[in-house]
Amino acid sequence: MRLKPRATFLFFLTLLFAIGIPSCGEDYVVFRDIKNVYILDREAGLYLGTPASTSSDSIALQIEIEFAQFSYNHNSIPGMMSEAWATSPSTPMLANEITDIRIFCDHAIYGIPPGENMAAVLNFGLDYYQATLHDFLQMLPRKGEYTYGIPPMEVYFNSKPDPGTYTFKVEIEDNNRHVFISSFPALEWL
Amino acid sequence: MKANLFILLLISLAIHGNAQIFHTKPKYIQLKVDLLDILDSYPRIGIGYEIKYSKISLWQSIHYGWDGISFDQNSRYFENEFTYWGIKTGLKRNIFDLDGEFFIGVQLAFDHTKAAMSDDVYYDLNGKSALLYDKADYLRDRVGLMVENGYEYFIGNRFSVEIGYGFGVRRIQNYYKNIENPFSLKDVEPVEIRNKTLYKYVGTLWRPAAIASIKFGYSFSSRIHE
Repeated sequence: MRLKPRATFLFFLTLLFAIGIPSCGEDYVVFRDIKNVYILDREAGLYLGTPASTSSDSIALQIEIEFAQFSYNHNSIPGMMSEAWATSPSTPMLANEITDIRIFCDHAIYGIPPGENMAAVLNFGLDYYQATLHDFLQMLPRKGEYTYGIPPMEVYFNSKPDPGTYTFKVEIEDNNRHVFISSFPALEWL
Repeated sequence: MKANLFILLLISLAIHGNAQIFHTKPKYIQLKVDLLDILDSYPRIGIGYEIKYSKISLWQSIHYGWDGISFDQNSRYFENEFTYWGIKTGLKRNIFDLDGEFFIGVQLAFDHTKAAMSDDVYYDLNGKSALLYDKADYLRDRVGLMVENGYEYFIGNRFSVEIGYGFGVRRIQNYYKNIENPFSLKDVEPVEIRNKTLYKYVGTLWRPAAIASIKFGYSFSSRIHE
């Protein structure tokens, strides 16, 4: 079979793109801090400010994690098209992992005294499902996995406690014993 | 005809070469300024002296650099301030030529660098860990042993331009001080040790190295007998 010049050209061009051009990207990504904690009214589907006021039976704390990427791997040949073609940087590897999430409240709630960790009586999830803390931690990406991060985590309060103002604190611990502490969102349950 | 011309050229070279050797003083001292390192990752200027004997030379130079003499405003090695100082010493074997001299030699070099870094990471190669920081002082000590060769072109009786290059090995010791907001990560090793970012690796590294130099020389006295 005799290849036509145009077909040969297209073949090698395709091959070139298939092989790929050395790209640039980061080696690692880490959980670095808690970026924000929002209060979400799940019945109304609204983000409430802080301090928030609601009579909703279903509230969630939405925890946004701050990620940091490091060790930029810059593989390019100056003057060539490699940077322009480097459209698929390699996915970074997770350099730490979340080992515990603790939720505190300044008032007694669901039978947990004020100031004590109430994570055991709450459900956790990523928007579409709920799980216990233990199961949720198993589901999160582990150290050594390739990821760009995770979407905001949610902590569900599935029933309305006694009326009053509740101030929450979220602590997240990683495998290096770093403890990330959130700001203190306040919620007035009517 | 070509053979005759070649013989004539050889004779001419021999005469001029001998004349050069015959007239050159058995010992004289040159001042030398090394400017090529201004293009290095950590730009610096070197100044030193060379004592020339009939066949060998002994030389020494000191080198100093700081961020103020950098041409590269987007250097990946430093973002803020840095200082560099170093000392080199060497021995050369000189082979005279019509307009100058070829040389081969060895050189021993030590340098120290201190650079202010921000929003970066380093890997501890011994502890197998990584540390992210907001700000830190990066410190580097290097010892190098090189073999080099090159050519020194004489301009008149006092001036010269020397071009040299060489290869060898360097022992590089990296460490950090004054770390702000450290964030340590255990069991995290570099994916690979990249030559472009050697500052990220704390510990001792042995690396092959290449050197190049352009030195401008000035002889304190006329190098040949008047």
